[in-house]
Amino acid sequence: MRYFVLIARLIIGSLFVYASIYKIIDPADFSNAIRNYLILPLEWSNIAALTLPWIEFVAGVFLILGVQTRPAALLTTGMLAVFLYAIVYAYATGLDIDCGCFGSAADAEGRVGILHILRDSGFFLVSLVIVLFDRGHFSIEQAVPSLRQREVSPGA
Amino acid sequence: MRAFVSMSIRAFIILAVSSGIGMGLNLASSKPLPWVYQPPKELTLEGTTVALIDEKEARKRFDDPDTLFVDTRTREEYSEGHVKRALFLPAYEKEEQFLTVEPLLTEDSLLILYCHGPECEMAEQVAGFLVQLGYKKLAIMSAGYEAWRRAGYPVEEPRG
Repeated sequence: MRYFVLIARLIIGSLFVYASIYKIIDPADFSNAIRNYLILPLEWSNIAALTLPWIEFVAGVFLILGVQTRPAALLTTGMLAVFLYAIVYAYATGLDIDCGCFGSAADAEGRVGILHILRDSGFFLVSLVIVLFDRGHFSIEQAVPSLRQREVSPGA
Repeated sequence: MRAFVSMSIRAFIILAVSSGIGMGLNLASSKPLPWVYQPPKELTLEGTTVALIDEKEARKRFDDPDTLFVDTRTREEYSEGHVKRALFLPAYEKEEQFLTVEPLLTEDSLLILYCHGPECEMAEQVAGFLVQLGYKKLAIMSAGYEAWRRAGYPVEEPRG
């Protein structure tokens, strides 16, 4: 299981770092993408576009390195749940919009559709596996014990 | 349970610090985004000012006989539902469809154009087309049909 969790960490971590880059470089464009979903009040779109990509980036880096792995995975799982809701909502209400998931280059990604829903559902489950089964193996915290916080054992 | 609470607290700290980084960098940026997004009030197309209005403003004008709503989305979207009495002038076949719509337009008409959402460009494309033809009283309902429908304003949809 430890190898499975490691692979899950690397997949979700890389995905979040990759997805955050364009949003960090061009928050105004990401703000447009958020407005297209018609979920948040329009006024909030800028603040979401300024903060969300950094949460994605930091959580992704933490997953790759194994720093605060389970809290970082809790964040990625929560974000994937929100993204999944947004995509299902857009698809169900027939919004003909770009996904905006990885960039405004989303032209390459196309309009939101069933494939996006399946893809995000898969990522959500993989991220959830980290939350549930990570035991700190292959992490910086394991390699450098002084970095390790006092952990409360899962299920305590 | 304690493990989950501990994990959630640490997740929240990561979230707060990361958000702080994003907001701090925005403050330090040479072109910071405003914290609160303010939709533009108007745009200018070839010298003509086109007001950008929200669905509430559009609703106020709905009962005015001199106001016409113009749906600029695709034929399929229009047939699935549109603002009540809206004319159909899609961006992708505006020249052809204009011949059908033209007799219904008068010089006094205020034309409120819309597409599906805030950032779609079809309403703006049709507005540009109408400006070229000499129409001056134009507005775009920026929030689009979805916001209008969600607000419970009058629509025409196929039965069943």
